[in-house]
Amino acid sequence: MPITTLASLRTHLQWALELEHSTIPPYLCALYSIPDGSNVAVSALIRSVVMEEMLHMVLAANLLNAVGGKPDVSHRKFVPSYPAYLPHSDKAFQVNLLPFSTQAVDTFLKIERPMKPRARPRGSKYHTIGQFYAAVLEGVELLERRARKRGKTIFTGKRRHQIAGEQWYYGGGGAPIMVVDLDSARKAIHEIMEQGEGLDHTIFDGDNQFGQVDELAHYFRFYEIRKGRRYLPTDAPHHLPHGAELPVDWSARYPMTPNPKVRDFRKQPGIHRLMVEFNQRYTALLQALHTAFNGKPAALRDAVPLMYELKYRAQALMTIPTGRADGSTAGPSFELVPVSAAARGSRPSAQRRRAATRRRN
Amino acid sequence: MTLTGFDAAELWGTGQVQTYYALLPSIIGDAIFGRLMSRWQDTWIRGEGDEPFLETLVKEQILEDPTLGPVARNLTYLWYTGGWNQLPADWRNEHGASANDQTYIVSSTAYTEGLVWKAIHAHPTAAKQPGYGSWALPPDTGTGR
Amino acid sequence: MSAPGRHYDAIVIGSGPIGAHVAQGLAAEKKSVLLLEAGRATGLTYEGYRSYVTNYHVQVAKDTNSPYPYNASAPSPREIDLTSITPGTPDLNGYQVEFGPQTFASTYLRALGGTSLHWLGTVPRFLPNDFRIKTKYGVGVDWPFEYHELEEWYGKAEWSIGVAANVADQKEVGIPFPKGYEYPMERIPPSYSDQVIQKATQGLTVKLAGRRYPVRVSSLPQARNSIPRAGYTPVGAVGAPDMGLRCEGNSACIPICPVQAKYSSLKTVAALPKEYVTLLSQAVVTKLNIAANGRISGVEWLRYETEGGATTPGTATGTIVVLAGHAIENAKLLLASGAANSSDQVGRNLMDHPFSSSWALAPRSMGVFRGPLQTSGIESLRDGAFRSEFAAFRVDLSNVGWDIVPNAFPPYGQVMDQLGQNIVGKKLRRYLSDTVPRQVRIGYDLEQLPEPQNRVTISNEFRDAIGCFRPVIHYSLSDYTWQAMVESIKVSGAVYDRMGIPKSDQYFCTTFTGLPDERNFRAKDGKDYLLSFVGAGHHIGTHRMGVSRTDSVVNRDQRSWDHENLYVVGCGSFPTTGTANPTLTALAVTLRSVKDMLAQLR
Repeated sequence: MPITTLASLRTHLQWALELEHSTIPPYLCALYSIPDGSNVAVSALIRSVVMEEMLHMVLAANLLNAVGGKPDVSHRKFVPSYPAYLPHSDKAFQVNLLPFSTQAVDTFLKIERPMKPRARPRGSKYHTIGQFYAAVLEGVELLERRARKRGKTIFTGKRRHQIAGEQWYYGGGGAPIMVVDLDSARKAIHEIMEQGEGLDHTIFDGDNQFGQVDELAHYFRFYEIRKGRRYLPTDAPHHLPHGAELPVDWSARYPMTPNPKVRDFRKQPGIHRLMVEFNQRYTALLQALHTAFNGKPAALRDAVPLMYELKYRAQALMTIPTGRADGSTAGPSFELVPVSAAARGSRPSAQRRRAATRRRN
Repeated sequence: MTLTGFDAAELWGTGQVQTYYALLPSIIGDAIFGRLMSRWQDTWIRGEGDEPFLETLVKEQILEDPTLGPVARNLTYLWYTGGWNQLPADWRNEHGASANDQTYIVSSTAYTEGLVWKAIHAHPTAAKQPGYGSWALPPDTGTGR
Repeated sequence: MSAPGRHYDAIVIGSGPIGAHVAQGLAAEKKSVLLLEAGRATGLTYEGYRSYVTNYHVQVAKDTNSPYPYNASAPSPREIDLTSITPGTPDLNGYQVEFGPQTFASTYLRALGGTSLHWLGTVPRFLPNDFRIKTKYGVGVDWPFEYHELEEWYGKAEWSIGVAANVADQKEVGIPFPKGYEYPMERIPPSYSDQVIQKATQGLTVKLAGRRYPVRVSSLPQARNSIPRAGYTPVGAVGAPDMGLRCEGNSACIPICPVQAKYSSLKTVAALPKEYVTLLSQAVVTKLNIAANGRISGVEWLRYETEGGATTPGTATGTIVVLAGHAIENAKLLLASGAANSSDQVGRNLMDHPFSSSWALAPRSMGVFRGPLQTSGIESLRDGAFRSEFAAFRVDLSNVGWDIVPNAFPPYGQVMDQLGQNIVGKKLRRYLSDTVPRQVRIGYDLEQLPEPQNRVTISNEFRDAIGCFRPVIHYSLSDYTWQAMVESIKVSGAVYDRMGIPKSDQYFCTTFTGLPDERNFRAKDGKDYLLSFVGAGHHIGTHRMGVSRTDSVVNRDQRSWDHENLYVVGCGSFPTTGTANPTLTALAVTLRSVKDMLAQLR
């Protein structure tokens, strides 16, 4: 169904946040399962995609803020329980938390699948992410056109809620676009679509703001990994990559158990505690993002150390044997924990520190 | 755990368990390694569940043992730093000096997984960096479990 | 002698920040440049640079040159080679031959990128009075120009290497800026321990030579990537431009920034236009050839394939020759060539910022071993009337606890001590958790005066594996600097008292003995102090600039008085040390000199 009301647009943009976020844990599991120093080119490719997905979350938040919405990235259902369908998809496939593997990359290809020209969604269930954003773009255009006829605009959000370039940084992935009008909204939506699936008839994402060579769109980056071969600049989207070999070692990864859950490790208190601690940090990260997206962009700086810490914690979990016959290791489960527990997992306040000191004495 | 102050999951989480398990006998020989392991097992069985008693046993049975003590201290040092220190001259004279008994850092990952960094709530220098601006935030101060 | 080599507009010797910028400045005007580097070009690929990082990880001693493999064909000094000097007997242990009486305990690096591979990246400007201490305080010598002549070039240097700082902080230190000037990036956030010390020292003053001075903590300008201001794009790692776009707090600026957020001249070299610049690494220059008319006609070098292995000679001629090989190596090469020394000042007036430290244990965690090695300093004691009596100092606050103390960086010594007492397990973990994060270290970059007997020389007796001269060093500190070391104890004590640190947890440069450099000194108060210091790695003064050919090696454009087409550039040109880390000033002075070089080539 086309988006015809502001309420529906806001709902869709909230969905966009959920959608962008839902791809991050699976990508991170694949990325973190590659030990430092092996599959170097592969991990650089996956890493670059993750950076851009995080940027997309920021862009979605900027869009939602621009049209007067309130991004919510910390509600109880914000994180899917893996295995999960992509939120608001047509449930064509499920996404799992897996270590780096052909199976994982095949799912990534499905996630980033390019939209067929002129394909239309059915109801509010979308077949591809591109389709979803095409609907959002149409909605934005339509609603703004209507508003202008009445001498108004849908871009009524506070400018100070926008995340600006200097506030967002996580190791590359481009700079966010501040959304204040139709033009910047179009740019933001295009950025998401192009990085994800490529421009209409090319494998590149049209993004060369750092004066670098064009980057491949996500789909094609994953396809390079799957085929173990680089694309040539002259390759067309329906081609196989024809460039140099891309070395891929499918066995160089920690054998993380698929879709780990905290509850599965109740009888292994050591692992259990580390998994809970991971989830506490993860919840704290989403809370920092929530604060940043809701009027305090500077809170993004607090999110940065948490992102780094999560990596080291995930990698530690992935080296701990589960003791199961399959030789698997533990892993991060990306489950939200109740707010108070997350606060306990974050840095102690001065008061709590004092209390802790008293206890020790 | 009793030597390092970190639990089994944390030790496995460094990815170094197998490396160190193979390294130790290659330096001190299978015989002394076997003695250390069996002494360790006995101590553990006797002291399990009573932490202060176990700590006393470890001290008396292992750390104060002229053969096992230096090895146990070195093993703890290895876990904390990723580096092996050449055993004391007395020990080497008594038990023979293995060519593998050199002062060195076992590997780049052994260095970065050194427990000392976790103990001091920091990260190994030149690895596992905490991210832009993290140093401006109040530090974590827990004292371990 | 090999066949005569190619002719270039300019031959630049050395690929550190200064040499790289000369090459860049000349190439920008379409001049052909031969850039010669004695060391390896390992850092020019991302993988090569990463190999330095893993090498650092596995080194037992993590000193300033530890990531960089020893190169017998182009050796560099290392701290671990230093020993105390017995009077009359030179210390031959390392690359430098040290006659003392004090050990010259500073190092540099011969590799592509030079010492900027291991430098800290702290880049304060000199203060206006640093250029005229003779006129103002009656000591040392004046520079051949004043601060305002350099102002524009400081700005260019800061934008070229990418400096993170706030103008307001630096104005407070006493540095003037042109209206509207902005540093290219926001200041690096001050560390938690900086904030604690800043809060504790609010309103604190100390009395120096009868006058009170504020003890004020301020942010340090740093050549590492932070949040860019309008018009600046941070430069990432060489070969991996997405990496290193922000400082990520690796706590290892010295000896290596693993993500390359810290500036190194690898970034400048990698961007040199290949159509104008020919880069030749593993080429150790052995001689400048002097023509009958007094001009430098060209240079001779030895090229090696394997470290310590056979060499092949090579030569080239240049319309101008720019010697940018580091203060020590520049002096060595001039002496070996019999060049530029009509003043007898080549190699003389060797200076450093002798660095003395104090240590303490704060009552609470300072959050150490996080962030860049330094983010703030006490900059308010860099100038004052006391400079007529003793040295000024720039005070730096460590973010990594008790470095300088042997075995405290990394903090392995503490592990060893506890194990020695059979303390293991939870007790060991708790001990480390409770003590190491409380470590504080305050260090002093002390000013040193130019003295002719402090010098680099060469001798046929002392040569390296390929037959080049090793630096022979005579070095001592005068009372001017020793006295300042005594004064520094007062400053540290006042800061520690304000932090609520009991006297029993305060340690000064008089506490730790056994460093190569220590001396009993009778201070102005009549008391004796056993003082110790280490080097700061700020080699200054071996080919100083001046206004007359009788008492200086180069003129205000860093051009040799004796050879009109020879430039000798870098920190060696400084007449005095000031208290600021010298690289930024060397770069500003040299960017200014490039104008004169281009005029010659027109």
